[in-house]
Amino acid sequence: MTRAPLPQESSQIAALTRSFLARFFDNEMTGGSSDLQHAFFWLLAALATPGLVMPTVAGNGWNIMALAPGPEGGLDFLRMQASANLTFSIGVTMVGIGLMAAVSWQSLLLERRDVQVLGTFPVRYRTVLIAKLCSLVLFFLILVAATAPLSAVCYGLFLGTAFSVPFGFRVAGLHVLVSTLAALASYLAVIGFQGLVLSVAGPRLFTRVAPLLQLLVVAMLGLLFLSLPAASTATLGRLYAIGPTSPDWVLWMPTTWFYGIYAKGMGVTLPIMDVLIGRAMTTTVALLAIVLVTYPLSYRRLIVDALIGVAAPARRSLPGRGVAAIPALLSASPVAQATLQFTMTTIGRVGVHRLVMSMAVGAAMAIIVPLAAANLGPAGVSPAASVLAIPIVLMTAVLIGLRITYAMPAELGAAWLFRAAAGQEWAEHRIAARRLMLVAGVLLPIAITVPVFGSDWGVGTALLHSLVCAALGALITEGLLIDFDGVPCSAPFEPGRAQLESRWPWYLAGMNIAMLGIPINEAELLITGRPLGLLVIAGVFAVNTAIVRRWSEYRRPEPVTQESPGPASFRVLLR
Amino acid sequence: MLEARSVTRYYGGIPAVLDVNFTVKPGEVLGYLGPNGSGKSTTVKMLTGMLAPTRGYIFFDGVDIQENLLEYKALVGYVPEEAHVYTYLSAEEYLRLAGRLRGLEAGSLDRRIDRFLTLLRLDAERHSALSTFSKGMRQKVLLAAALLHDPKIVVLDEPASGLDVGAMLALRALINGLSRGGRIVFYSSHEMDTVEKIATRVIILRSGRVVADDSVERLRDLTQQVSLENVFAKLAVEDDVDGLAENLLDAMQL
Repeated sequence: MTRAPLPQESSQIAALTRSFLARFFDNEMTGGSSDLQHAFFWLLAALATPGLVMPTVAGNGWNIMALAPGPEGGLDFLRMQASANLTFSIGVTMVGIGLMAAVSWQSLLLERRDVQVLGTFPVRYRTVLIAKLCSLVLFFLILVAATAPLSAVCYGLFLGTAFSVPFGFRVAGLHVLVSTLAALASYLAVIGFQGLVLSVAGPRLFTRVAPLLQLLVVAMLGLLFLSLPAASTATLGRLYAIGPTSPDWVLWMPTTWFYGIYAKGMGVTLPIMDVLIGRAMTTTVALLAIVLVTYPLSYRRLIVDALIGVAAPARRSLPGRGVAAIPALLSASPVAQATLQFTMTTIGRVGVHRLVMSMAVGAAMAIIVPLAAANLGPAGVSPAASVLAIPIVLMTAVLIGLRITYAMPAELGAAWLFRAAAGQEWAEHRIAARRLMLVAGVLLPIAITVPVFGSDWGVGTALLHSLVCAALGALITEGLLIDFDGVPCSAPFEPGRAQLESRWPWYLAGMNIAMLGIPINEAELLITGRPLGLLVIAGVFAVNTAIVRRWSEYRRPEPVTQESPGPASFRVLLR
Repeated sequence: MLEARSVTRYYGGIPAVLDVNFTVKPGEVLGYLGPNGSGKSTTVKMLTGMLAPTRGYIFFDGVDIQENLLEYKALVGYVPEEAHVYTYLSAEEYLRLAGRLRGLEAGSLDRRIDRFLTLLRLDAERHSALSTFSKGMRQKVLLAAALLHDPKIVVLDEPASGLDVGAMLALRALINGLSRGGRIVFYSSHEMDTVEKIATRVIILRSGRVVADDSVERLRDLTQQVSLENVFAKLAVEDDVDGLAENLLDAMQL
């Protein structure tokens, strides 16, 4: 064979690492839209904020505490008291990095395209793997660099002021170390989880279960986030016997393990700290080992699948048949049916849409699980507000998730199909969008929860609460559909239309009323023996729904005119 | 010289390519034809070193390519049938990645990228993401990536897909030039017209087996057909095309 000069492996690794790293900032989630890319960078910047705000807010109190005499003052007391703040900060870092990993879901592992694009180049599989791992390390370092140093300076500054300058430097160094380790554990957990499932289940099954995995990851992160206030306070109680609570479960929280490193570094000599450090390090090393073992295995499975995998002709499963029948059940109009079919399949199959829905449901689960857990045991005379809130939380999350997915395009270039076929079917598209939200976002959460309400508190209570939920769901649906125009998932993403900058207090107040105010009032009415009051609430929502709907149709946005409606031949065919 | 000897590939017990034999000498253009599912893409995957044969061998200059796959891959330029690219990279970034993976020195790579992008009229779009490119533009980028390192073997799998007439004619001239320069060109396609004009020899595949292997003229003479398209229809097309068309027209009225 004529010998060809083989390229150096190091230069190949450098070239591939650069390319893989770029994917993190322009992946399926952010690709093709500068707005989404900006959102990604804003998210990155937002990660740094808690680390700046928390020590700044606590700083003055720390100074006073350091100077205060008696058992609840002095440097030793401050050293212990700061543990709640530091544990919370560690938790925020873990959740933030985990969320960034979840957003970059598609870019964390190698994919079929890597096999297809790189397969013909003179590149070893080992080289590709090393480059991908290098890009993962670089992405992680970027995330940590965006969060840890500023936060470390703040903690160092404020604790240093209370203690001493050398102590401030020590805290800053410890903060960088602990934040990095905690973030690494969170990051590795997401990658390891993906790698493990991909290695075991194979690429095809992995693609199918990806939404469930994303949901689990977001739900776990949400749970961790929501548990942070309680866990931080409990850390103080369990480790230093300060405060009312000292539960043992806090010793099994990853945030507490990593706090152990902090405490040891700050000079706390309790033996429990060694145990916590041991747990933190064992977990991190175990996660690293999982990643290092599953990464090559999953890549191997991808190679086999991409090159010699024979895709069996897809068959429609029984659930698939059921889903396929939904458009015809929801509308008799062919245009509305087409819109429903397209929207449902897009949300079910396109990665970024599935991610948004998984995140929405995951966030809801993070709220619902503790609510449900707190109400386990014998049912009371009437349901508590926290129980009544469960279907409302799920409903709100699914509806918001659906509305966001409506606004996100899938295969924008293929949207000419709708433009070519489009006439004046604005109302049909809107009906389709509304009905899908009502079925998936309102009826489904109610249907899931109504048997529980029925068995525990009677059919009457279950029906009345369902009625309130349905009316509230219809109102939220109409509210979310204000300014909605066209076919879902087929127009360029315009996050500016949500006007978050100016409307966020309204959104926040609305969610507060829906998820807190309504259940509290319902619970009050039920416990005071005025169940028919729920009918009044439902009636008020129904009237408001009708008003919002009329208003929304009145202020219908101008339809977008398209310069290029697609090939004329298709236009004729579709008409 | 590139030689396939009894090359066979099974996918889970199902044969995709069976006992394929051919030889391509430097300066020859081998047209590789076959209907969908006949084994063309599998052959291409094996020729590019992406896939090993289940049975048989592929030799280049008398050496089994599996013995030193990386060295062999360094000699091959490949334009895939589907435009698999990293769509978040720009044209220039993609070519730079391809050149670096091929070990091209920075200065030479810059000059080649500039020249290729200018000649292919992609200069104005060099910093645009490939996701914004049309199919034809992506095809041009893939062609540039395949030729960037001056390969000895050029494997083209439907390279004309999406190209306009001008680019298509330029591609034909380019293939002739590659052939004159002593390179081995393997051209897999559905496009009879191009193959008829550029191929020095044609292989027709049906259900994974070679059903014809000769020059275009000899195949036309042997089968007494006036064009390669007719030869192909006679040897490889199993469907009753007129009947199918009738049925499709009927289906429109259902």
